[in-house]
Amino acid sequence: MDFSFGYDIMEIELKNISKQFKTSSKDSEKIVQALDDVSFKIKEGEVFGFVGANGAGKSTTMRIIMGVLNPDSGSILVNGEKINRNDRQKMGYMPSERGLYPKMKVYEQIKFLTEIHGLSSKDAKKQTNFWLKKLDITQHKDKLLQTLSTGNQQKAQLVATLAPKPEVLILDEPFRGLDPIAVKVMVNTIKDFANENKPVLFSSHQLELIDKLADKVSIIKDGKIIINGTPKQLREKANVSQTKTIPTPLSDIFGDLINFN
Amino acid sequence: MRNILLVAKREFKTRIFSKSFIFSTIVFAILIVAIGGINVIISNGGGFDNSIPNLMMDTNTKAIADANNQAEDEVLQQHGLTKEQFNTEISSKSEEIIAGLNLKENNPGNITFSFMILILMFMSIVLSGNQMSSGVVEEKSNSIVEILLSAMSSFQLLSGKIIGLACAGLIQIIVILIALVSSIEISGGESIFNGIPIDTFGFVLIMFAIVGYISFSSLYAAFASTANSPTEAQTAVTPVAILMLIPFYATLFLQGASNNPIIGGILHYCPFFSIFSIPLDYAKGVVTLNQSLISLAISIIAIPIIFWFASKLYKRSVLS
Repeated sequence: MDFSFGYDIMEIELKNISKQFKTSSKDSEKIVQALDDVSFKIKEGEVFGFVGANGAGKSTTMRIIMGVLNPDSGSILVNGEKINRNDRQKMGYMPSERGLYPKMKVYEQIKFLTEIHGLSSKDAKKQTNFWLKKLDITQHKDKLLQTLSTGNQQKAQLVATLAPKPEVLILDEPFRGLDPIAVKVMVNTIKDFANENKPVLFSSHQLELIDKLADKVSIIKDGKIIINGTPKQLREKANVSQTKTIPTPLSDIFGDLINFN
Repeated sequence: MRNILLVAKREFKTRIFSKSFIFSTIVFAILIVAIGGINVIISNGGGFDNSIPNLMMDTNTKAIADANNQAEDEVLQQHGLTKEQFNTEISSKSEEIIAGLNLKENNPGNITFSFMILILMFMSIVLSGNQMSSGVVEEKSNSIVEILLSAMSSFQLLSGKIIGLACAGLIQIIVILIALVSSIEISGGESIFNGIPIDTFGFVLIMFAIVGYISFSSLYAAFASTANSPTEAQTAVTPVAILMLIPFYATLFLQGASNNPIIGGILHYCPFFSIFSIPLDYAKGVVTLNQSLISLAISIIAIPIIFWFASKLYKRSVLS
């Protein structure tokens, strides 16, 4: 099935993105630097892995890309131009929460979400049915989302992300809560998408999946990007011997990388 | 615009197929038909005397005289008109004259119906508001609002939600009006609602219901967006509930004092107050159609201001 729709998004670049949040407690108001001068580029056909501890700034970065939050400074460029609503409509976004209505039928809400991204009713029906079949959840299409298992809910979420024919995938922890079979389906879907020369940005705590899928990795800590590079480059930075025939898993060197200066 | 309509369609379908909506609509309709038919059931035991004509529509001097225990000559003298003048000119002045004669107390059907409408409209707006509030919190807690706001602006999303819920609320109001007509038809003209001017009253009720749904739903959405859970939302929307209760109770307990220019002015022309007081007082014959239209115009002018405030708060809070 053709993923493309309209013009192609070939490159997304984040330039010097910073974001602060004010948090107030009983006695005081605190400013949290959620993102500090974050910059990276995702090219066409590239699977970009985004890694960091909880609260490091991964979700905030993705929300800023999607326009859900506005940065305090910096810019986001798509194909060299400042990002706009049309660009965002062509991005498939999967937030870390389910992002679907629990008490609405699967088919109805996916069709609705597809239509609000600009597809006609006819195209939305066709796309929804295609992806429900591809991810093997057609039998659940008329069920309420909350009645599905976690894995099937995540699949429904992925259908909702892919059905609008996005040009880019922005996936926040897409493998969370999935069984091994569902993980394999998700991995294959991401690979197929990237093989169509579309950029993918995804975050995960499962470093073996980052290792397996990502062409490039950025590690973020306390709102700052501390390392950028391919998995091979990250191993070099961690001074891991390159003579080994089986590369050292990223999970083994993550502790060193997160404290990299 | 397309996204606004898509959101409106989703909200409308979700609301009208909800159990609370179906149940409340059926209950409203049954209440009206039942109360309207009470007179038929108890008439042998001396029920309401609805032989007194509904003087909002009746322009016959004899009828007015009978109702007021006056002679026809006295009625004519009161208005300085001959019988011919009275009958030809009365159609443009009847409502003022009738209101001025304070004959509403003599028609229990109008009074009963007007209070019923007040309560039913209040309940319908509250149900809509609660539905809006829980929908906003659900979208926020499930992060679905992030997906929605990546595809449309917060203005489009809020507008669509309000339009959808207002349309669903209108269905309830139309059912109430159908129940009213049915009550009259079924009772063979013996219903205590017989004589209520369905056409103009229906118009007044529908227009003020629309204003009510839009005004209060916007505020419910805005205040609910500051909450992160259904429990927090109940507290968050308290200011809106109070804003609705004040005019409701003022209408209920002060309607007898609406002849006072200050009280009448607030009840009949102040936004939020007029939503409840005008349909009630129009049914009773206390306000005229022209007065109702002026009040409606004021409320419509207030809507953009209310929506502007609500959309600012919603935009700021829904993603926090």
